Amino acid sequence: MLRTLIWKDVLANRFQLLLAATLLVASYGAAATLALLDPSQAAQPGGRQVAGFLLSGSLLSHAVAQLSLAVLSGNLIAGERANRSAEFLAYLPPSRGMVLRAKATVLGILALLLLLIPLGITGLGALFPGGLPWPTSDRAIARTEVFIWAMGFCASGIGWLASCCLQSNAVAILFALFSPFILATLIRIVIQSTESTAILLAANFSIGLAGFLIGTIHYLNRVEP
Amino acid sequence: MTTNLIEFSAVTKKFKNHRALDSLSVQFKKGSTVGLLGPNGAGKSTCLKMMLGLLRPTSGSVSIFGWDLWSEGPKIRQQIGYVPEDPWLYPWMTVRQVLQFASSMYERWSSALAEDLLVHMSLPPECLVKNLSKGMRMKTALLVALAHRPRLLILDEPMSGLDPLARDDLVEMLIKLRDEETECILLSSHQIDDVARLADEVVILNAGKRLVHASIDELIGTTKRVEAVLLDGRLPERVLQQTVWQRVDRRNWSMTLHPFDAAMVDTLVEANPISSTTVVDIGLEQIFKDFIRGAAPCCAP
Repeated sequence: MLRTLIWKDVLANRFQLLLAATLLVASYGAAATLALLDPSQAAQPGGRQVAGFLLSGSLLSHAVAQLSLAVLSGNLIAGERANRSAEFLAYLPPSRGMVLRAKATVLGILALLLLLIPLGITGLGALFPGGLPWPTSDRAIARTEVFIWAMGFCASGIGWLASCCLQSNAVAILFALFSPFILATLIRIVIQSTESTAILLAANFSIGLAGFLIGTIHYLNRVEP
Repeated sequence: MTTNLIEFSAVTKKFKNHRALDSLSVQFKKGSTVGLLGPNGAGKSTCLKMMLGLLRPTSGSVSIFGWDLWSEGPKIRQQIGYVPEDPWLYPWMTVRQVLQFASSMYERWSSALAEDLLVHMSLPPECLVKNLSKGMRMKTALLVALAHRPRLLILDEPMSGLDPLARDDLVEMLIKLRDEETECILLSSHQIDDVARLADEVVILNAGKRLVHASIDELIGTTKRVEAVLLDGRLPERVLQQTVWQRVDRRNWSMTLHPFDAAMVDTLVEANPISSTTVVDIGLEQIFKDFIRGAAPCCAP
């Protein structure tokens, strides 16, 4: 039953998944274009050039992956409410918990794919002669990565919460997309110090987690589809 | 052991200031086919949705198959076939995909029966749901509801949107089903002649309250229209108590009495100088209308 629900959720969200795939590919396209236009890259040995392009593409793809995850989380539940197919699902035997598990699985799998595929592609850079593996020395990249995923987690959590509560998937997606930026602006206004980055990171993770938890509890307890 | 398949105990459902159900208590027994009648807004759909756990009572309790609806929801829905008034399926699925999807949800799903019904209902298996007419969507929902051989079949206005031929087909199919294995069929409909053909008992609801729950034969047998010319123009208390609905045009009184017994006419004659009195048999549709009109505040006896 769970597998069928997952199959259904994949098909129901095929446009959102297609968007994620397109953005993933487009990130490498954009990185390749930038590499070709950058004269400093041309001076590098071939292997390093490729590794650099793959790394840039992966970083970019991780950034746009957050958009994909926010859109999917906003659509997963509210999308079915918007086209009223949630009413059909509601009188079928699966429990609310199982319905939610299927949706969470789809979101989780997409998040994993969007995390791991670019990491794998970055690793490919090591295979080229003169190419570098993951630049472990560069802590700034790691920090940026953590920050990007924190914002994405916040966006997805808010999207999940909005999707659990609202009738309109469009509004849920908007909530998801804008929440990390609103949060960042608020924190920057309230805390005007160098420590704001760490606080913003913690706030993004906390709000994302709260969004997932509150949304789940609300969905499991609401009677209406 | 109880033979009640469905039990509503003092169920009230409020939507903001509106009471959709008002202390409704009703039981449906195994083996019954029940027609739920009532005007728009009487609480029929609320009642049916509550049986599936799609609405929670504000107060009171609902049990299905002897199980509590809230703790055993998935188990109960496994044994219920439901066709809503306006069936919303996945618009991007084909009819066949809907069946494949539904087949993995039900333990008792019969693929052979589903295929039979698909052919019998002339449904296009490869057509997208979003391209189906309302009648075709209704048939698809019905197919899903029937193919898992439910113990309880709930139909909310199943005839709406169906052409006369499809309606006849559906009635025939339900009659067959009633005689086979479904333990209880509950249907709400405005097509009272179809209800009369299908159901063996009716519940008439109005403003969330149960006006009557009886077998159709018993209801028709015990509800009569009395046409009388009353010179005095007053009804004796005993007759008044049994009057469901009345209309007065000068001295011509027309009243529907339930439960009727012949002695009432004698009481009427004794209390009034009557020039004429006639007892008329009325059908289910007229009984329904009289109960509803009689319950309305403007024409309450």
